[in-house]
Amino acid sequence: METSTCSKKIVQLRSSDGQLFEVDEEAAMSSEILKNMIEMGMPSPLPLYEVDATTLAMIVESWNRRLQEKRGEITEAELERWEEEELLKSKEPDGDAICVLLAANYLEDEHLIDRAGEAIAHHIKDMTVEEVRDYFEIENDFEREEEEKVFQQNAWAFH
Amino acid sequence: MTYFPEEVVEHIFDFLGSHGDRNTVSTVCKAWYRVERLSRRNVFVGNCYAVRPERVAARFPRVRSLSVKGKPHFADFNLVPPDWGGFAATWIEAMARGCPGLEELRMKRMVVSDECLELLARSFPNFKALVLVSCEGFSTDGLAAIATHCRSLKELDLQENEMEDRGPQWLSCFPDSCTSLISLNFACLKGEVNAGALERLVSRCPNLRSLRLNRAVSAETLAKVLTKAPQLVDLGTGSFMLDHRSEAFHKLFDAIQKCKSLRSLSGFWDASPLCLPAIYTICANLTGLNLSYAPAIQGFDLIKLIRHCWKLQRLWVLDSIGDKGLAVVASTCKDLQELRVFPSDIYGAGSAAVTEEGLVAISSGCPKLNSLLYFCDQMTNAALITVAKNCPNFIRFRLCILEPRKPDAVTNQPLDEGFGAIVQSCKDLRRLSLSGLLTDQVFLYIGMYAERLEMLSIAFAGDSDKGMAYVLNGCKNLRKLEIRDSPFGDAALLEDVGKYETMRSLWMSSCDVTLGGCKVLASKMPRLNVEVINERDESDELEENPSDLHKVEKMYVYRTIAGPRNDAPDFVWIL
Repeated sequence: METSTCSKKIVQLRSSDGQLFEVDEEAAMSSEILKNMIEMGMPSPLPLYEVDATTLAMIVESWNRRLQEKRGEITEAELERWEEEELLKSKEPDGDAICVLLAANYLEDEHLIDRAGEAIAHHIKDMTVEEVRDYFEIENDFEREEEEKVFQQNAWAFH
Repeated sequence: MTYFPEEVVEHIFDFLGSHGDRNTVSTVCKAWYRVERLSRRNVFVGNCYAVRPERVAARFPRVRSLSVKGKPHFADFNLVPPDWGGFAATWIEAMARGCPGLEELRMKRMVVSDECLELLARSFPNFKALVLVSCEGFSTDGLAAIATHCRSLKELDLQENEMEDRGPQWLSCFPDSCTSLISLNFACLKGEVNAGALERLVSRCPNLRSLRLNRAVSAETLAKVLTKAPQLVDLGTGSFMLDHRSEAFHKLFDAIQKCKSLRSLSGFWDASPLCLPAIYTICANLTGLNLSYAPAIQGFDLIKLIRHCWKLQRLWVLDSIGDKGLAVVASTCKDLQELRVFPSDIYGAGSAAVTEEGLVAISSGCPKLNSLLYFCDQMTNAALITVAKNCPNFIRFRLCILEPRKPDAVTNQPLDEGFGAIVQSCKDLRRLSLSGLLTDQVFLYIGMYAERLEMLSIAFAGDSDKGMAYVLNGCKNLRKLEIRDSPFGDAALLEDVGKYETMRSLWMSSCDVTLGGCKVLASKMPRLNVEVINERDESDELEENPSDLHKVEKMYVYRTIAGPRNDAPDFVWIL
């Protein structure tokens, strides 16, 4: 019995916290970093020092879905909806979108960088400075006068 | 605290469209300030004197698109003397030194010289788009420089500028290698252009989408141009004067039929109604139509034309359309969003133009209407109340009853209630112009209800300082306030001096504000520029050293981080 010609090659990835993931090689090629590692023949498991297991699980699933879309198993609209609602949780945003963006940046996955970037930008649109700082958990390191000066310049000159 | 690599932050900023959001993220922390300033591509400066151009270039060295606005809006009504200011030169010089990657420049109400345009043309190798609106000070020589040196020019858009004509050669200055034009608008140019050069230019620019010709371009030339550019989406015809029985008319007719992508039309100078059938077949696709330069198209011919244009979203017409014509618009143009009705006869010698009836008809037929400019002879409160009910979505509402202080045409009452209904109903109203007889009451309503209002224009209105105070105390999002010929004085001006630091500008002319009042404002608020504009008046003996009680003819106040400007002419005193 002949096996299908698209016998899937699998690669093994290791998250920063030691968990192993098996992924379709074609799916993993969504990441430039992994593409290079695979083409250079690096041995499995390929180490991803900056992506933890939780985030990697989400990213791998997104790659699988993109592969499904590429193969016509799901529509583009279905992919987009999953990315927006499940992956990036655009409707009730929490830190997931940020984790995805950081991971996508590390992995050099252009598509995901764009999607996550856009989702986050959309979420912070019309926010106040304090709200943005809270969302990203960033501390304000401006001196009081500096901050006022920038604020004033923005409001008086560039608005 | 999570560490964000700069490129990650930049990826997020890439998707932030508005200046407001960019401003917000720039104040999150020092790292974000730096990433934001190096990645901001679009910079908008609402008042050219609020910040020094060098400061803008230093903060945003990688800016690609810069918009700058100069003179206050009332300059459009000749209330700002020539030489007041708004010079483009310092901006172009600063950009040339600090931001060589500049690709687009948009300027409104600024003074632009040919030398500036020459500098612009030579300083930015990737320059793509120049948009000048209501500017002055340049000539066709400046355009020649742009045409000659801007190799990747995509857009040259001249709207309502005062420019000197020094001959038609400028159009021939576009080299044969220029094939990148997407938009060319020289409708405001007075002089002739070389028809052959125009045809050749259009032929070699396959991406041309928008072309607006001036009155000097004949209908015969238009026909030739259109055969070379059937892909046009927006067309401003030149002169539309032709004998409808002529060969030339048939050529124009044929050429227009082939323009299947046309969505917007303007121009129509000297148009004869008999030539209108040339455009009937494309009318069904039009979303924009400007007939405000075609006084000969009126009455039955105009109505017949409008009946073909059922997809219109934007219509600019003369008031000769009459209330009957507006009723036809109301029943035909269900998608109408913007209507402008201009006065055809400002001196009132002609027949009745449009009245409140036309406006009511439009409001009931066109529920999507959100932007209005309406010059009319008369209005009533009842009509405005009906309009407010029918169209709660107004963003811009500018009503111009030609005769100042004219009361309700039926009841003889002030129009306070009518405008009150508008501001109460239209929660998203951002711009409002008032006219007719109005007491302080209308300002009470505006202060109370117009929460999103950003720009308010007042002329010949109000009874006392209370009126202006209601507005200053109420409208929290007010950015621009311009007032003329109204009884507001020092008490109103000084009511809430801190308010002016939350606004872009305040203009007051022919009001009751005194020089003393302006001095007090200037001394209390050092971060505002308080300009008193005095024009030469031979009969004015107090010219040299007027007393503080002297009423100020024109005053312009604006917040600024640039300090007093150093380019003011002697008739402008910066207190």
